[in-house]
Amino acid sequence: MRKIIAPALGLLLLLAWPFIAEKIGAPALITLFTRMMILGLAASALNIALGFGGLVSLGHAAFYGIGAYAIGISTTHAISGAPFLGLLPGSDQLLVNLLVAMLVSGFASAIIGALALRTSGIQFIMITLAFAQMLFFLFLALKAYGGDDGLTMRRRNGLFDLNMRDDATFFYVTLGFLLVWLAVCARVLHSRFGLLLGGIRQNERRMQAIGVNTFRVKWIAFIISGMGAGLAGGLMANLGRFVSPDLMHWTTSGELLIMCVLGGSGTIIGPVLGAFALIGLEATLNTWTEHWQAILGPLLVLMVLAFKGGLARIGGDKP
Amino acid sequence: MSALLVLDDLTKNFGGLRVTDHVCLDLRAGEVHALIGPNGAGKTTLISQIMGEITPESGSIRLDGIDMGKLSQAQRVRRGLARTFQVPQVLGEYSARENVVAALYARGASADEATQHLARANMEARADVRVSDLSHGERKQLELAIALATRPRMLLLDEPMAGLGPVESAQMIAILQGLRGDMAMLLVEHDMKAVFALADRISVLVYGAIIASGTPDEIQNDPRVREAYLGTGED
Repeated sequence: MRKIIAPALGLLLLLAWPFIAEKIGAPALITLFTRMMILGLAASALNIALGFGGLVSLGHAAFYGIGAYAIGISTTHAISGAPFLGLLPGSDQLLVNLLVAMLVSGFASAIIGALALRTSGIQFIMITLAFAQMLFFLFLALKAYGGDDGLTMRRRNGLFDLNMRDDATFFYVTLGFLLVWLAVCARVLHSRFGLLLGGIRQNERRMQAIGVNTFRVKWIAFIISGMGAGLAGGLMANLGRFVSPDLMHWTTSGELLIMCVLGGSGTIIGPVLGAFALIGLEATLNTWTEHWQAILGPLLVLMVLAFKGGLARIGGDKP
Repeated sequence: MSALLVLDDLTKNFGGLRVTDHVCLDLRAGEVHALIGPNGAGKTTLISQIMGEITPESGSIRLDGIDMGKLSQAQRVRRGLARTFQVPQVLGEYSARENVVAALYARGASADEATQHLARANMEARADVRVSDLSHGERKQLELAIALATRPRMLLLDEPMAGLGPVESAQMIAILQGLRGDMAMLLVEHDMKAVFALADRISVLVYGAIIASGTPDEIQNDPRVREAYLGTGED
């Protein structure tokens, strides 16, 4: 019963949040919660590789950043009217741009995954980190799209006739995408593919011995994971109307990993809870002291020790 | 009976150590062929080469006349090779049924088949128990059910009696007897009671080389085998 009630209450709270934030005179909390949901989506995307597949990637910020840049670049070209590379017209429509963001991130994760998945363990961590840093420096040097200054989007992408300038509207749009993404994750986890992926995480040798092409299963999981990170990056670009290479920095990958571990990797809702907990703590401690990181670090260690298996498993719940 | 699996001049070295020494072996359809030998003789390494986990340096492996040399492990399984492990390799977070279902999904079959494979390994009563809660003997039986779910024509059994007590061993022998005729089996085993109860033919592997092959009676009376196992007594 708790498995239904807790998420239902959480969803109700989220649905009411823009009204609550306006009522208590803190509209900035709407944007803060939108950011939490987007990072929750990114962490949940990483969780497909990490929690379901056992692939500890320290390079998912690359796919997150690529998704953001895909939207930033497409929107810039749509507004200027000049086609991208003289061929492709830009778009300022959210659905089109998010699709592009996911496809480009998926393509990048397919290439990086095809190379990185030939390794395992610490080598896999290092090679994903290396690719992400390579892309970070590439976008840092990309002066045509702002270089290290980043790229400003004049306005958010449009979606039907909704007023996307309104933070509350964008909050609900983000919530919609998060719910759809979590439904996709649940579908993946409980599918044939999910069973095989979980088997590989537990014992790859056994899965090879029953005839599973483990490389292909892991590769597909890595691509889905990269596409999800791209989707989150695209939403983040719209939220702040700004993209910069910082989105691709390795510390972003580290934060996504922390969210997964804190919330419970291998669970559907865990990474989202982890994102809310981490960003919430950051935002709260930040108002108390400028040395907030000195408090956050030990606090995270204590939380991980206290909630073994993550926040989603409090009370011994399984995914 | 015609030869189903043929190993021809198979050789493998680990550094300076020759672990498979020009092995020639033919395993006939439907028969149980035991492979015995002292620890370190290269029995498990031979199974790993047949499955494609380890690549031999020379020689060939043919299943039903088809060269397995260039095929991946997954392709070999699809063509009818399956194995069990000396230390059971099972999926600890899943139930026994889910372990078998994974093997069914791997070959695109329906999960409905799981019960029949569990029953053949005498595991249907434990189907919904999480693997981490199964005993060692049950895990051995589950491994067998997993292998059966791949529909093997040639089943490679790596010490199925290892770590089992007398009752569990007797049960495992009975299960394997029940499978006789449905598929060929290569039985790597130290338990001579099981070997003589199950094997149609026996080959003896010492330092990576086959030193004798024949019926159980022939092997029992072969002086080379006695020497390999018991020594010459001249020291």
